Formats: sequence, structure tokens, C-alpha cells
Amino acid sequence: MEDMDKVLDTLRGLEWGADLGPLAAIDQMIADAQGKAEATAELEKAMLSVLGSASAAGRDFICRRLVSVGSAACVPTLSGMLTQAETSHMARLALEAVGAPEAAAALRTAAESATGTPKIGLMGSLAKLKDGGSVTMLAAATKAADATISHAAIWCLGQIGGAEAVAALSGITANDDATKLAVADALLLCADRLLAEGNNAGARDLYRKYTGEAQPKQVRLAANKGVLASVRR
Amino acid sequence: MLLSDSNPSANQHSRREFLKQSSAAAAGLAIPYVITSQALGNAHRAPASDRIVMAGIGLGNMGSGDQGAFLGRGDVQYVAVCDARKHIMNAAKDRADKHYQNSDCKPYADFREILARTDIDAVHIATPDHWHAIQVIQACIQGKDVYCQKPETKTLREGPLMVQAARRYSRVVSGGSQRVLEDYRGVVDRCWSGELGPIKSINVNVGPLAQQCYLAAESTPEDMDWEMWLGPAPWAPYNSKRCDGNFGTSGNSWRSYSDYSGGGMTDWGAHHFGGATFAIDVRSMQPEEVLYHEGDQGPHLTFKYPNGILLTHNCPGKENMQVEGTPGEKREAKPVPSYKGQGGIYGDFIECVKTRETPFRDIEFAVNSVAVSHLGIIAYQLKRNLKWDAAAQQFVDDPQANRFLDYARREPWLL
Repeated sequence: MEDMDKVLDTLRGLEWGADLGPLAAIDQMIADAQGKAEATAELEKAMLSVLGSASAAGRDFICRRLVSVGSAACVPTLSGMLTQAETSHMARLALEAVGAPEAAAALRTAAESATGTPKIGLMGSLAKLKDGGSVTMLAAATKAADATISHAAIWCLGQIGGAEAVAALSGITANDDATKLAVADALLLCADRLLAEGNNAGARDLYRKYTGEAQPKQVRLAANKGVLASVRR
Repeated sequence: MLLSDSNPSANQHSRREFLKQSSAAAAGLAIPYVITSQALGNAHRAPASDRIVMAGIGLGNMGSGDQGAFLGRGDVQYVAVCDARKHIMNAAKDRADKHYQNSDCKPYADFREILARTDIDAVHIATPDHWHAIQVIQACIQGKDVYCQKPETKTLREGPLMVQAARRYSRVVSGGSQRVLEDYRGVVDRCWSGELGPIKSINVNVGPLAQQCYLAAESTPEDMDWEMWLGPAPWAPYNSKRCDGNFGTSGNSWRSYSDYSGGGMTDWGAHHFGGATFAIDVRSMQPEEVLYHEGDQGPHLTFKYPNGILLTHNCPGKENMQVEGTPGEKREAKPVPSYKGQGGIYGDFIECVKTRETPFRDIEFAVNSVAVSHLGIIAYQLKRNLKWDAAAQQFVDDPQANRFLDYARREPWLL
């Protein structure tokens, strides 16, 4: 335990360029704890105890280890890092790996209130976790004045898919070509998923929106291929 | 990914279509004197309307070599370059301008501006590995064909997303390992000719794994867009060794560090595993099991393919690309696939851009062979056996291993 205290002290004050030798013990402990729930939980608890007071490099080091040993228990601590630009990504790095319902709920709550690039990252993590509970929030974000946020929300809805996401995407009035392409890409992805699920008619309805001459060539190709596939299957 | 906020015109004609129509119109109006000899082409240069309009993204060591290969082709018109380092970007522009004896090549600091250009048919990508998936997928969405340097993926999750984007938008996407066909041809020929009988196994020796990077902060050079260089990778302070593009993997290049590369295991692994999986004809598969072995001479691996063939990694006593066949047993000979067109792997890509055929190093084959590297890295990290469901792209009943399928991209980049 004395050794662990020293390691945790090192973590608190870790700077870029520091000798990582003293921290090798943590990686060894993680390796030894593999498959042992109690040992893993102890390690997680110890690292969480210094996460809030750790330097930027220390936070980086800890969050990367939480990818291995994190559980629902780390969610409350990481939640506090999600909306700030300096800490959001590292918290998401750990939470995406944890993937527990608690992690998705924390990401969702943070995404509701976050602004700027952290909001984009949070939406992206929820999309990756295919979090159906985020669709309402994402639909609202498609109306954001900041195009980087609205386009990210469109992309995330495509990743999640499902009837609600399709409805939200279909309701977007796109006035510029970049937004039109973003919506087309998202809906084509939804259509591909419907086709894979055997909902040929639903997929065909979406593909048919994009077969017209006004669409970019690659979009027309994707849509026409989709229509053909939906008829053949 | 973050879609561009630039303004690609959805119904704008491509440059080639425009040139074809302009030429036809000019002929109709009997004013052929406005068409230059450069546009008409000659024995070494296709007419402008038949050239593939290309741009490069990432023009350091590998990218400049790729640029040179494409510039040297008479059927390519090279029009734009992009790099996070201004001096590299400017040098790449100068190469193109010098080649064409004009100043038309346009430099960009943001690759999204290149991808939004509707006059560009294809791009070559030679950024560090952590950028490949986002850039390849975005290029496909924007209707570009892509030549992507190896290793094409940084994680297991990226591969199927890249393949799906290529297929959805009917894009030609070629991986970038010329060694797969050119370096191991002898081994490939012996396997495909049937001379060795049914193949039992092949061995690959390659490494090392990438390491984590906590290098000290240095002042960022003025001409470096550090945020763009890092892109989706975790934030870290600038250090010249962190981002150097040299080919080493022992600490003085980005290839050494796990935020940007899989180390030698993916960098040379893309060549070696690519050649090995070609030789034993499993390019369309991924292993279903990885066995981790501890030994006096260090750990090593055995990958089992669904058809029973084994691929070993760093197996003690075995040479790189050493094949074990079944002497005395017959195996039917098969013709060895090769490049289309002229000019090696670059010519293969350009020919396929023209004909819409599948390139030799199709992205799906590339993804499958780099997957061997990624599976191996995870087995070495966890120091145990793994079972892989290639259809589901998940480790079987192994939530711990599934944590390493991917990583969270730094905002605002999404994948």
C-alpha cells in the first residue's frame, strides 16, 4: 500500500517528459488483476482517488488505464470532466470503453448541457454506443446555428438509425449543399441498415429520395444500388 | 466524422465532363485554336478530358513518394496538396508546379477543402495512421476514389467502416502496400502454383509494438498546425519526435507511438501480413482465433483461419514468410492475381479509377490483413488467447478484449 501511495503521488504530479518508470507498477498491477474483479475494483478506486487532483498528464495516464479497469464505479468522477474542453476527451475515452448503461446516461446528460466541441465529442460517443435515448437531443442539435454541431448531430443520427432518427433526418430542411450531403449520407446509412434488417420497403423509400439527377453522382449510385438491392431481395 | 462546412455543388459537372463538353462545343464552333497542346495531349500525355484529376493529403515521406508516382503519369492531372506542415505543403506544391511548368497546384491546410472540390476525381492519403479512416470515409462520401497508404487502419473498428463507405458510394479504394505483390512473389508463386501442396502454415516475423508517448513539450514550429496534425488523437504537447515521419519505430517518430500507429507490428506488418495472407490465399478472411504463447525466446502468436490454415507470428526458429505445405499432396494451381494497367500499384489504382474494376490491394483485402496486426497487438497486451467473430467484429464472450476494438476520437472528429 505504501508503494501504491508513492505511485499515486507520482500520478498527481506527472508532467510530460517525466520518467514513467515509477508508474510501470500500475501496468503490472493491471495485468495481474486481469479476471480478478476485486483487485480490478481496488485499482480503479485508487486511481479515481487522485484523478480530480492530477495534472493533465496524470489525468491522461489514469483515463487510459480506466479503459482497462474502469466500471460503472468510475462514472460519477468522469462525469464531472465531460463538459470541459480540457478534460472531456479523456473522460470519454474511458467511458466509451466502460460502455455500461451508467456511462451512456452520463454522456447523455452532459451532451444536453455541453456547448462547442465537447458537445460534438459527447454526441459522437453516444452515436458510437448506438444510444437510442439520444435521438431527441440529437434532433434538437441538428437545428444548431453552428454548422459543425448541426452536421455532427446529423452524422450521429445516421449512426444510431431507427424510425425516430429517420424521422428527424427526413424533417431537416437543408439549404446548402454540405448539409444536403450530410443528410443524404446519414439517411443512406439508415436505409442500408433497414435493408440488412429485411425492411426492404422502408429502405426503398429512403433510397428513392436520392435517385434524382440533382443528387451528386456518388449519392445517386448509392441510392440506385440500394433500390435494386431492395427489389431483388 | 465532421462534415465540411464548405460548399460542394451537388449538381456541378465534374472537370472531366466539363472539358469534354467544352471540347465538343469548341469543335462545333470551329475554334480549335483555343485548345492548347497541353490540353490535347500527346504520345506520353492523355488529353485533359481523359486525365484523372488528383490531389494529395499528407505529403511527408510516403506522401511525397506517392505524389511523385502520380505526377509522373500522363493520365493524371495533379491539382492540389494538403499538409499540416506548411513547408511540406509548399514543397509538394512546388514539385507539382515544376512538373507542369505552371503554378496551378493549390495548397490547402485543411483536407476537407480538397474533398469538397467537385473537380477532383481521386486523392492519395499518406497522413499518419490515426487519420486514415476519417479521411478515407469522408473522401468516399464526397465521391472521391482513394489510394491510401498502409497500414490502412489504426483500429479493428475502422476497417469495416472504410469498406462500407467504399462499397456504399461505389468508390475505388486501394491500400498502399506495393510489397504485398512485389516483395513476396516467389513465396506467392510457390503457394498458388500448387507446388507445396495444401498449405498448413506460414510465419511472419515483425515488430515491435507501439509504445505510449509522454515526451516533453517543445515549442511548436510556426509552420506546424499542431491541432490538425493531432486531429482525432488525444491531445499532447508538440515534440518533434512525436510527429517525425521517419520510418523508425524505436521512439523518434510517430510510428513509434500508439496514439498514431501500431508500431512495426502494423507498419511493416501491413507488408508482411499482407504478403503472407496473399500467399496462403486468405485475403478475404480474418482469423477466428489467436493463440498466445510464452516461451524462452519471448512471446509469440498463432492465428487460426476458418479454413484451418495457421499464420504464426515471431515463431521461434522460423524465418519470415516460411511456409509449411503438404509435400506429396496435390493442390490445384490457381492463376496469381496481379496489377491492372501499367506502373505498379499506382498504375493499378489509376486503371481501376478509369474502368471501375477492383484494385489489386482493394481496401477489403488491406483491412483484413491489417486486422491480423490489430488482433495480435491485443493478444500481446492481454497476454492471452482470443476468439474473434469476424462477422460480428467482436471478440467472443470477451468484454475485456472488446474494450480495445477502438478508441474515442478527440472532438470535433467523429468516427
